[in-house]
Amino acid sequence: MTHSYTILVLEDERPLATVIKDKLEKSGFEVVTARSVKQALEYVSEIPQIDLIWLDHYLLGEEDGLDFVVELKKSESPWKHVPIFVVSNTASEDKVHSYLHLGATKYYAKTEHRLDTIVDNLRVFLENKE
Amino acid sequence: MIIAVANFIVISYSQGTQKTDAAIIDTAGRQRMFSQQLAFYAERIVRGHTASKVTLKKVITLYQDSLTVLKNGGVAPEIFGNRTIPPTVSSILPVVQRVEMLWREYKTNAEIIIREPTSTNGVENELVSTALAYIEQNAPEMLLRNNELVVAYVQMNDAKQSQMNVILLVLLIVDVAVFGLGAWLILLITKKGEVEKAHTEEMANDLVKFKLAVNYSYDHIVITDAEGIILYANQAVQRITGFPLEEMMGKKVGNSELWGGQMPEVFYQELWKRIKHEKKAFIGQINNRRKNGETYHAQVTISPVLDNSGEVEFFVGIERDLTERLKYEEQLRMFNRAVESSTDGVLISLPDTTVIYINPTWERLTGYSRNEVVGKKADMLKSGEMSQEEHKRLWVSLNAKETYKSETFVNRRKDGTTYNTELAIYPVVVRDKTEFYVVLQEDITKRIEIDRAKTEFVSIASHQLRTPLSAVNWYAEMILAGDVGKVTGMQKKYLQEIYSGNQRMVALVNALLNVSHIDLGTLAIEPQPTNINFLIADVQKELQPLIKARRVKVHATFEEKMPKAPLDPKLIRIVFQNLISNAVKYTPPGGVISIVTELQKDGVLFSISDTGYGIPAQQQNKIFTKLFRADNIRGKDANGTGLGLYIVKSIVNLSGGKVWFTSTENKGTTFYVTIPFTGMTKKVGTKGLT
Repeated sequence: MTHSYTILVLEDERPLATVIKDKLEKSGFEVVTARSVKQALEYVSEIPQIDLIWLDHYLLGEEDGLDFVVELKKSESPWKHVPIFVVSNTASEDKVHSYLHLGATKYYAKTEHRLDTIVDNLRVFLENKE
Repeated sequence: MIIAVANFIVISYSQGTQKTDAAIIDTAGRQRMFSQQLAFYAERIVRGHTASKVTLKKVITLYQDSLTVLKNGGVAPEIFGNRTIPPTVSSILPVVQRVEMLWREYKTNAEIIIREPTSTNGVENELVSTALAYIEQNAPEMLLRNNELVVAYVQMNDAKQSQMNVILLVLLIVDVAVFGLGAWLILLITKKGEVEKAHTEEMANDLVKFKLAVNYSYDHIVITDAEGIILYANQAVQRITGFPLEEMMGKKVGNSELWGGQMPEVFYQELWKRIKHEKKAFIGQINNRRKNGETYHAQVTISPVLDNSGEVEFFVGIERDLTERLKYEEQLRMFNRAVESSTDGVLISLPDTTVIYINPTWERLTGYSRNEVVGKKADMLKSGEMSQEEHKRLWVSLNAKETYKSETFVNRRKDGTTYNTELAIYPVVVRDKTEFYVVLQEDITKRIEIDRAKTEFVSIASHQLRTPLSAVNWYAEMILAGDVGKVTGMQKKYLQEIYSGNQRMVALVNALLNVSHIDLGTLAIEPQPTNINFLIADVQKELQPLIKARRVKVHATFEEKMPKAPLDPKLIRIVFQNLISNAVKYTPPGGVISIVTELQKDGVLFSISDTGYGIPAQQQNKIFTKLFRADNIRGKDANGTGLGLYIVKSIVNLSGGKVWFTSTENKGTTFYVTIPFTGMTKKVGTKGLT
């Protein structure tokens, strides 16, 4: 690893946000956590380099993960190329379709995957991207 | 000297052929002459259902002209020749008797209206009085009031009073003087059909027919002697009362041993008084009792038949069982109430969509009152939101006389707002012709709301349940991985238990959520062409670690020419996933599992046999029940949820297929699944299974 990647984690559940953050940091990533779409969009515009976004569906506030993806993937958005890994438990067919259709890179159901599997996939994805 | 000639003009009208004939018949009953012109006018009388003064005059004139023709050497001059008949009782009586005979021949129920002659001619009066006296004495029932037969004296000068409101008439003209001072008509009108030619042989035939007609009449007909002892009863009596002929013959009618005796005593006294002493007919309604004890309600007419001395010789009783009609009316009332109180909106229209009925629910749904809709075209309710294709589909169905159904029909209320309705239009087809449309609509706004709420419930439950499970999973995983410090042997073992316990909980929650979707009907079905061989092979591959761990062998024999069927691969996969993993889990190490797919006539047969623990015989009927687990495997494998086979059966049912099994404990089990080629029907539900 030539430099450390910065991951923005959007997760409203504190225990989950904590465990994700810890695991990512243990694995050598820089981590920023946000609990709402509004907060996340602020971070995106303030932090110079975000390499990947870890996104849950249900978030604090009115807006959910889909709203965030729509906002981020707008054609005029400077961050439209930032990859998004959706990690959520609301794995209905239509939601998975919607996320992937809107430009999310991957979709994981939380209960179906080990944390280290997702983190490994994420690292491989970023390294291959370079 | 006054010369009187008595003849009949018999005008008969056949409803079947719609032909009218007129004949002149002499007092001896012989037919003498046909008159086309008479027939023409008679037909006008008959068809017009009225006898105008002018028409009747015309008939009389024609009759008189005919006589002239005859007198002057016409076709049958011998009818009159030089023969004259004095205006005496003896000359009128054969005529009246002839009328009586014709009346008896054609009557069923009779209403006879007598108009007293108003002529000032003494001879006429004498003749008419003689005729009347004869009728009163010999055939008083001709004078009864009833609906189907009218005998009337109509004075020529007062023809408009005649009551020719039925089909057939016999005119009797008593010609008082040859080219007369006046004439009397006796009109005998019946509904019964054509007056037959008055030949004796034919009369005999008619009598046979008449007997048959009485015997097989739909109405109950009984003839008794003057004391009410039954002499004759037709078939209908046996059918209606349930008493066989031999039980009623010789018994007195009206007693409680037979069908009578159900009315108060005073009723029978009054009845008897009227028919026996007053010698008048009785018409009314009566309650009777069948042999089986059931009571019934009947319309009854009892007429006395008098002998020459004016004494009652017989009674003729005619009854009509009204039970069926009352039942029918009750049924009609019931259907009416049902439609009126139906929670579905009901509209009935003519084939051109003119509305003839809407029920209160329809009024409530649309905001239109009955008066505002009835008589108008049903398209006043159109929302304008229906697509061209759907409109076409509707009329294609209706024109083919088939039911049209729509689960998502949009209608417009009176206030302009629209609402969702499930609508069905049923053409009511009689002899291949649509007579009505019956439209049913159910307001499904609420149902849509409920469906949405159900889906949301499962969705939220799924999220809420899985979030803490994810937390346990991931924290345990991190501790086990040593991410937060070294873990000792025992700690690791305990943590492993927590971790795998949580994994089981995840599986259970997934299965429960699937069951919720099935039970709540919120399951989405997305059929696509699917080859089940590939699905099975894929599941087999996925289960390889388990197969290896259990040390069992799995053989699969796939149908080579497996066609694709429209199935939801995600759903049908769950079937194979459950059946194969069950076989693997419940077969001891060293066992063999055989999977076979083969083609059948209408679909595919999948079977999976194992050499496993089997299902105890006494529990085999519960195996597809929710949360059921057989006794013999509960100790052997703790991982089952008791939901797998319930889900399997539900999904197989969705595909129109069947699932069953044969099993012997400690020998093994074979599960069979058939899946028809017709596959699954698309359903825009809300969720797939997880």
